[in-house]
Formats: sequence, structure tokens, C-alpha cells
Amino acid sequence: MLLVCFGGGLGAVARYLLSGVINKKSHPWGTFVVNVLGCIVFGICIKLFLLNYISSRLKIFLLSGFCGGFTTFSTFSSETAHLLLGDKLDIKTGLQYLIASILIGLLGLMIGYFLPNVFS
Amino acid sequence: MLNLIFVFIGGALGSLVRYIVSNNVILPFGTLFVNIFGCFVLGILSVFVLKRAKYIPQKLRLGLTSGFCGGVTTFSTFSYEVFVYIQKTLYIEALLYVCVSLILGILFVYFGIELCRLCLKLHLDNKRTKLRQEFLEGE
Repeated sequence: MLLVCFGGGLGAVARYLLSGVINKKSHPWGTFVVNVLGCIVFGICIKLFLLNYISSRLKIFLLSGFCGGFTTFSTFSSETAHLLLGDKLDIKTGLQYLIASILIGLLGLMIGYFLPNVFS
Repeated sequence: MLNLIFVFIGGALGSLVRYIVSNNVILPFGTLFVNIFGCFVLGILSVFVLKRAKYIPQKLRLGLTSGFCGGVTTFSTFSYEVFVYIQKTLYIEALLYVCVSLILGILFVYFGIELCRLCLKLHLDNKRTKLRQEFLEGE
């Protein structure tokens, strides 16, 4: 549990710093970058866990803690809601953001998942 | 620096809640549940910006939004679950899971916003009526 807390806290701080820097230049793509990066790391870690390279404790720290805290679904939904329905109405960007997040997030996860295969 | 500490604490608490809920056997859709819960809370909090920012201290709001809501929801596990469905060739389930997550997520952000606005309005109306009464009694 402490591992989850610590990992989650670290992930949240990393997300706050990184998405803050990118969102300043191009909103809302900071969250997108964070989510895709988190998915890649998640893919690598879960594969390494399945291959028995990392212990279940480290898995809990990295996956449930760090990756979970680093990526966010709430900010993603809220930004999409504001773009599609709300005050910042911009349906084109909203749809681009929505579809890109889902597809590239999934792609990132697969890349991460199959990456350890290349080296083993 | 203080901002980072607030985000850290929020993220740690959020992750803990997510870990406990998504490991709970009673809820088959643990990740879906925490994601929607986080969206709802974020919707509520997102009302407290600009003119209404005075209701919640800025650092606390940051800890709750970027920290707690960000930590309690997760995009990576969500993507992984979609990937697992695809691996098992359950394509319809994968698509359904994505659509349900997206639609409910956006909807609950909206619910959170509307609910919070309504509560604030009621609160302010109450305050106004009270002030008016006091004023009239004073006359």
C-alpha cells in the first residue's frame, strides 16, 4: 500500500510538471503526451512482469502506483467535455484529441508490450 | 515547491483509493468505476475557477484536481484492459468498453459541473435572502 502511495505521488508530480510545460504551448496535448508515455511504460512493465523479470512488489509500485498516478482519465474526459460541449467549444480539436488519445494510447501500450521481445 | 507537495499527497491518496477499489472483487469494472468517479469529482472542482476561485484555496484545489483526481483515474490501465480484450479477440467487448468509458466519463464531468453550479446557486440565493431579511429587520 505504501508502495502504491509513493508511486502514485511521484507519478502525479511528474505528470503535473510535464503536462504543465506542454499545455502552456499547445493545450490540451500535454495530457495526451503524458497518457501515451504512461501507456508505453505500462506495456513494458507488464510484459517484464509476465516474463518474471520484475517482482510483484515492484509491479505494484510501477503499475498501480507510478503509471496509474502518472496517466489520467479525468483530465482527459474533462478536456474533451470542455472542447466538445462546453466553454472552449472546438469540436475539431476535441475529436482529434479524443481519437488520438485512445488509438495512440493503445498503440503505445502495444509498442511497450512487444518491445521486450525485441531484446530477448 | 509547495504546489508539488500538494500534488504528491493528492496523487498518493488518489492512487491508494484506486488500488483498493480496483482490487475489490465486488466491483467487476474497478477501473471503469474509479475513472468515472474521478471525472465526477473533477467536474465539481472545475467550477471553482476564475470568479469562484475564492471558495477553495488555490493550492488545495491543485492537490485535489491534479493530485487526487489525476491519481484516482488512470489511462494506462484502461488502455491495457482494452488491449487484453483485443488479445482475447473480444473485439466487440473492447469497443464497448472504450465507448462506455468515454461517454460516461464525459457525461459525469458534465453532471459534476451542473450539480456544483446548482448547489452554489442555491447557496448564494439563500445567503442573499438572509441578507435582505436582516436588512429589512434593521430598518
